[in-house]
Amino acid sequence: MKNFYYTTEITKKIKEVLDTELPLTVKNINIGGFRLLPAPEVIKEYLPAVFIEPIEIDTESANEVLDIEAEQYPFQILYTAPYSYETQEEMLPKIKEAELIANVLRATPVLSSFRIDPSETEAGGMVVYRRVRGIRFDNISTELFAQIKVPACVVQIDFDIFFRTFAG
Amino acid sequence: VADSFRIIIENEQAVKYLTGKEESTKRRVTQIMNLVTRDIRDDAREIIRSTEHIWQGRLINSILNRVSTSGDHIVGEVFSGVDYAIYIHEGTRRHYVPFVDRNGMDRLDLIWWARSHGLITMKGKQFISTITGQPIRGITVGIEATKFLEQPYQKHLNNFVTQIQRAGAE
Repeated sequence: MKNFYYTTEITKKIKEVLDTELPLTVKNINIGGFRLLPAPEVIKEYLPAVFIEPIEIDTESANEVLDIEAEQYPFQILYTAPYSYETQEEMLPKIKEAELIANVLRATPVLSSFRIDPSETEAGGMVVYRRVRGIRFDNISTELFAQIKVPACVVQIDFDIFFRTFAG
Repeated sequence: VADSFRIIIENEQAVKYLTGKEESTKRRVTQIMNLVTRDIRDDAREIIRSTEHIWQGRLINSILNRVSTSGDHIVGEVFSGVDYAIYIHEGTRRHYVPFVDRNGMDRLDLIWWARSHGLITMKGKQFISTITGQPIRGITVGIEATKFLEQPYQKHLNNFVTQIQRAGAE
């Protein structure tokens, strides 16, 4: 039976891009959500950090006879930065930094040329296109940090990878 | 989880009165149906507005009314398109409603992190910020039934039937 799903490979590729191409100093780049955050007392030293969170695989058959799957892999890229909630001037620089991350994601050739070769066990496939679907400043993560008085904010980048497997 | 949650108004008397009636009567009944479903919709929105369930207004905005006619058949509907409407309508036992953003994404991991570090505690049915002592907005545990569709439906039912009877007698 062949494997058709590539969340692991695509997620690792996104991390590789952020590890190597970011024009921004971040202290940590992780795969996963906020469970990886350190204790609130030391969170300042841990930030800024980027969390790459795969959400799901939205898949449908592109060609039943040729056994081709068209797959959408939505990600949340959570740029988490120190934030004091004391001055309004803090917000725009954080948004700018997140935009730098989004710029890299939308432009890097590493993702657009990413492909997995087919084999006896792998359907393989290639990235058809990727898109930054949105950059969200007013999100529940920042809202929750504010409510529990943790000096951090999150700018959320919704990023989709469209992947198509090769004909069987 | 249902895709939508609705109350359908399909009055047998209205159908009886309409059979063989003039177009003008049918139009009048449709008009009454429009007005009644609009009133039910507005009252339903008001009920939600007065509860703690409002945060981003998704539920309120999703409550709509619609009247469709086919021959002698007239059906009025008031419905909500959000998947959690039934929980708000019927209430739940101690039930966890995730901290959800406008795309329906939750951030349970952040809640988990905050609770595990003592930043959030439970007090009765509410999550409380340990530092501020204030309830955390966006999280509710144990929903009281609001009956946001049923209540206005019952309220407007008699008036609706009276108006339909009048229209039929005209």
